[in-house]
Amino acid sequence: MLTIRRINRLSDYLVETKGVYKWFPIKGGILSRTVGYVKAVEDVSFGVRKGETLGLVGESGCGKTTIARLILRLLDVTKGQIYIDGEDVTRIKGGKLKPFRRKMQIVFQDPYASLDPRQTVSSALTEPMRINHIVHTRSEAHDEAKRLIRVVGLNPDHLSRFPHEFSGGQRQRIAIARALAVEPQIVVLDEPTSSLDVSVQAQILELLKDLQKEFDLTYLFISHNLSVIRYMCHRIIVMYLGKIAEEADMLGVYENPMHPYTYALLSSAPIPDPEQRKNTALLQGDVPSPINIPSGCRFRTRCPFTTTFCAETEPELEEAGSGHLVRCPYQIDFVSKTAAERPRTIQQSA
Amino acid sequence: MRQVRLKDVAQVFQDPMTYLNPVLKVGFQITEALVSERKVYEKELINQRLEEIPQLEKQDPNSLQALERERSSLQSALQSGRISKGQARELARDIAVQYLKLVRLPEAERVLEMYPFELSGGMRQRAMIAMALVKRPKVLLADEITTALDVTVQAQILALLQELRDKIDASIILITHDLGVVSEVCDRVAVMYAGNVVELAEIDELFKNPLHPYTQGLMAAVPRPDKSTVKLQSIKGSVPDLIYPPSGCRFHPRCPKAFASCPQRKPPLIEAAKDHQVECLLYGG
Repeated sequence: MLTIRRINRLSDYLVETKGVYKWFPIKGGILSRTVGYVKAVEDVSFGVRKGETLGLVGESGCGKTTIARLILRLLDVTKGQIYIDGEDVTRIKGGKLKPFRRKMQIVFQDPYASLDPRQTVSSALTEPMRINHIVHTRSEAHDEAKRLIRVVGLNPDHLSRFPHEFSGGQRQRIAIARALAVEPQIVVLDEPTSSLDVSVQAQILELLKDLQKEFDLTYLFISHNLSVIRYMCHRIIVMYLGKIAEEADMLGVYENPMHPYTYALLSSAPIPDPEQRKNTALLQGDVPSPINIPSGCRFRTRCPFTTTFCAETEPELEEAGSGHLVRCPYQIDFVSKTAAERPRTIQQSA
Repeated sequence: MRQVRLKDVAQVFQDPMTYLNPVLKVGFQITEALVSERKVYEKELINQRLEEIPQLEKQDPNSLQALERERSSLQSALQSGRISKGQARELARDIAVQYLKLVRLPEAERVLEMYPFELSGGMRQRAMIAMALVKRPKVLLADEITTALDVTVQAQILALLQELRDKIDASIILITHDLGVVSEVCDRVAVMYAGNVVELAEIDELFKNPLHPYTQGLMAAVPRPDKSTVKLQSIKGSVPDLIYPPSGCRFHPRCPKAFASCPQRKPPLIEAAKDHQVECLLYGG
């Protein structure tokens, strides 16, 4: 145990997952026995470095939000470990969990549902401070709330109001202030702008970037919007059906995608420029059900480059460039649409 | 109005999860309008089938007699102008299958017998489009039809929409907040702000030469998937309360280029360039 801790102290990951699985049982029959599993997350390992923004991208049902919930310990893992700041938090419970909860906070997608309609802004901000003993007196709490509300670009007058008096963008600012109230190190942003207008989205994204610099925050940014991910993230993980398909830094993913799924995702993102119309949908069909995952490579049912090999063997996540991981054994030229086996030299040296 | 709704316009809504009735089969929902208003549609229904019969005769010579009987009964129905509900239902079913194939739903016959919960989001949106199209509308209103869908499915639906526009010869009004979607499918764009159309132009013209400060602001506020943006320019403030809209130009409290007469006078929609109308005092008016 001690050795593991020491090793992890050395790594510069603030959050790390190792081979994390999450299967949700499906109950059926009169005895409500388990008849199958929804395999939401399978064998996911990654680390989030201090001060960076890691993006999680994928279609709905690919396990992005499940991973966020596992890291926050809102869900328990089926298998694997989660480390926060080098400590294994996979199994700790109750009071011991509280200091870790303080290190990680979340901003949810829908600011209309994530704020208590009967709680004033002031109370929403001071409650987590009191619980975590960050403030000791009422006036201290009030001062702190005032400071926070200014930090997110609102006015101290707003503190005595209720959520219904605010617009979507303002509510999202309140949700961000609430997340910051306990001085977290990592903030999980689960589609924080997808329910907002574009002009408000720009404001919130700018705010998040400023806050990251000011408070040295680490973000785990979940979104299906590739433009927003490109704007916000340093490193990106592309997920497909519960597994990592590709992981690289921002430019690696956008300028040099290696997995056919990443390429398809990028080419289906509409570009706000009529001169670059594409008129093509590269991927046919929908994501398969995570209950019956295809054999071999799980992307093969929609992949334009699929071979017989793909149906038999599940590819490993392999290194195809420095810091560029991809789960596809082929080196594909997406322009000429040809696939060749990737040379294994990098793999061996790694 | 009922007549207009019946024949001329059809709408596809934003959220395919909630707009289909969960307790009725997809086939019933698609054909409902055709069957219940069969008086309006009977000619189309019958003619459609009559066109099909010669083809079926070629394919299957054994059923010649049955098809001949069907043809004569259809022709008499056409003359008398009376068609039974059962007949209409069967005819409408054929049309529904055709349209489901047109919107690229696999196994169209089986989908008719399914309930909405058995379909995925993209499939439901396709079914919704088929439902709107069976009436052969002149105008198709598409209200944020891809907002609830994933990008890959969105690309499929947008490609489908473009293909259909040419096939069914209908005009499409696409309502969306996504500039990417707009530039992908539209020919002309009207930009709206707080209840007014503030700019109206051809798509290429609008993106190359946005005139209204609001349009310019919108374009600077959107991050792009194909280029890195250093800093997003956001439009300060938020959309005004329309119970008390700002005086004069409704955009002036948020406009970076506002000047003295903006709060006083509502700008007229003027032609600032060829086929490019804008509602802003910067360009005269």
